[in-house]
Amino acid sequence: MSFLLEHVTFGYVPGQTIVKDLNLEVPAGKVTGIAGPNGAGKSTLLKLMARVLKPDEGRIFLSDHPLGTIHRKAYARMVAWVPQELLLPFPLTVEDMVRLGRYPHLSPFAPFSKRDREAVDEALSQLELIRYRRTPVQNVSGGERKRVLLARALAADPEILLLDEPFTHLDPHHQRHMAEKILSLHGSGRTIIVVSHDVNLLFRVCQDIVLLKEGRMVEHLQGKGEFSRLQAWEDLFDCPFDRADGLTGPLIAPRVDGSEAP
Amino acid sequence: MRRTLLLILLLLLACLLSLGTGPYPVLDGLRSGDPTAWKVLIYLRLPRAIAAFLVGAALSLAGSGLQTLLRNPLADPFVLGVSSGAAAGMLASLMLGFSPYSISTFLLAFLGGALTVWSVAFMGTTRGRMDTTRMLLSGVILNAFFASLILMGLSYVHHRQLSSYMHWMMGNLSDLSLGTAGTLAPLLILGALPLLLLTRQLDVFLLGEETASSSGISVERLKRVVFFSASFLTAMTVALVGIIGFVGLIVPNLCRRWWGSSHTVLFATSTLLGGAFLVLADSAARFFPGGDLPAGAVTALVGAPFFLMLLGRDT
Repeated sequence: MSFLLEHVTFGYVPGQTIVKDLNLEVPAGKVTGIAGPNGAGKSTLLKLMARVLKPDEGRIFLSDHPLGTIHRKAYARMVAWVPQELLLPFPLTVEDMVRLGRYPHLSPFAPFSKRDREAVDEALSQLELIRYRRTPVQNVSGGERKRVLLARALAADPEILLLDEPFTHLDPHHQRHMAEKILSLHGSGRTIIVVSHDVNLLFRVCQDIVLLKEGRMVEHLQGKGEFSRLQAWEDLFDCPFDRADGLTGPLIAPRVDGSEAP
Repeated sequence: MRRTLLLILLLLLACLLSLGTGPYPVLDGLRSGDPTAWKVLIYLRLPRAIAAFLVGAALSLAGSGLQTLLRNPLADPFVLGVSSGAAAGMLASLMLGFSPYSISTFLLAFLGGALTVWSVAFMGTTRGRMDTTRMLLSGVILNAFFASLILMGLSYVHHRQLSSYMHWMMGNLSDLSLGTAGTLAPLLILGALPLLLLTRQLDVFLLGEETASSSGISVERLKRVVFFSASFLTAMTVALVGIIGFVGLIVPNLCRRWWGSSHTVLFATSTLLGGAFLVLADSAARFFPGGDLPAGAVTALVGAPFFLMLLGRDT
């Protein structure tokens, strides 16, 4: 399943456009990254694709179908959005939260079926959350909470995953775990779109990276060979970058004047 | 399981106390075969117990719905200004010369509540979306506005009207008849039904508007239905028996704590516990010196230490 965005424009407040006349094709079966400076419209773009927001102008298609023509619940069964963080006003256990991921599959008054329970158990097991299932979400660590959010999305068994900053607030160990999980989900045939500031982790999980600046697409880096082109990143973030080569791909970082090499 | 048993025991206790408590010794009368005992039971105690249960259930249900809608455990049925709107309507009715428990007073109080609901919805909507923060602010502002109007109005009413107004303001269940309880029941069911049909959607709404929307829920429709249903339940009860605080705030919080946040269970337990609690508070009101205090005056007095004790033991 692929996304096609045609002349998409959106703003939260009249006169302040966040996404501007965006044309983009996100191919099926790939992991596509979205990168850009703060306020570039990355998360907003993801919400537009998740149907959380509606474009002011332009159209979005999912496999040639305009989003507005697809039933809301049917769409939620195909596309799952994973936000950066959730603020829960009331206590909820890890299992209860993952169960809520099954909502798109449930008819209004039908009880939770065996298939639903299996999907929840599978999602908990995939994200290694079985031992936390009775723990309130408020009591688990930041890294575990990210896994709970992903497990909730996986419980719906979607074909497309929209991940908003899956690596933020995670230590390197958990970042690695999350990156490997994304690769494994891609291995099972899913289309994944990842918004992240962590350029080096995007290099490791993505096949394509879309560069956004001030609501417009400035580059679409197609294929890993394009990723380490420093000029593209320097233009995107308006700062010089250093580059090194790691065992699993290139590493880039902003050049910090005045710092000494260790 | 223990908590469910406790709920059942509370319901039974509430029922027994409400029917047995009062100046006339009903139980003794029934034992001795006094026909007056049956009349007191059927025409006085039973309607009062039923009405108290329905009012407590409605306020708890409205509180549960509004706490989820506003994603705030401090929300109660009166947070959006419905009660002060209804109180202003009641005062207007008295100033126009209608008697305190007439149908005109009931209608004017309901109209005051309904107008406030409409104003909060109107002021809380931007670009076709209900903004819960704006709604909350609008409710607080309208509460303050109506409180001022009421204070101004009170300085112009006769002291006898003032007394009945204050009695109503504190939540008065003593004048309810079997007919009133019979009228209240279908209206409260009408207000509660939309909430009961939306439990699964409200579960997902706990995760936030955006997550609910991405899960396939029509969030704006859900918010409107919850807001108007909860407000209808509140306006009905306020217009009928006055302002009874505390029930709609604490009971849903306690139910979430004991039985979890699933709205099917939350609504069922809130309805039963809220109803039982108000029946108990109303029975307790009859024990105070002077007899028959307004139930709204004793809900917090009786309930606060009880709930604090339970919360303390639960932590």
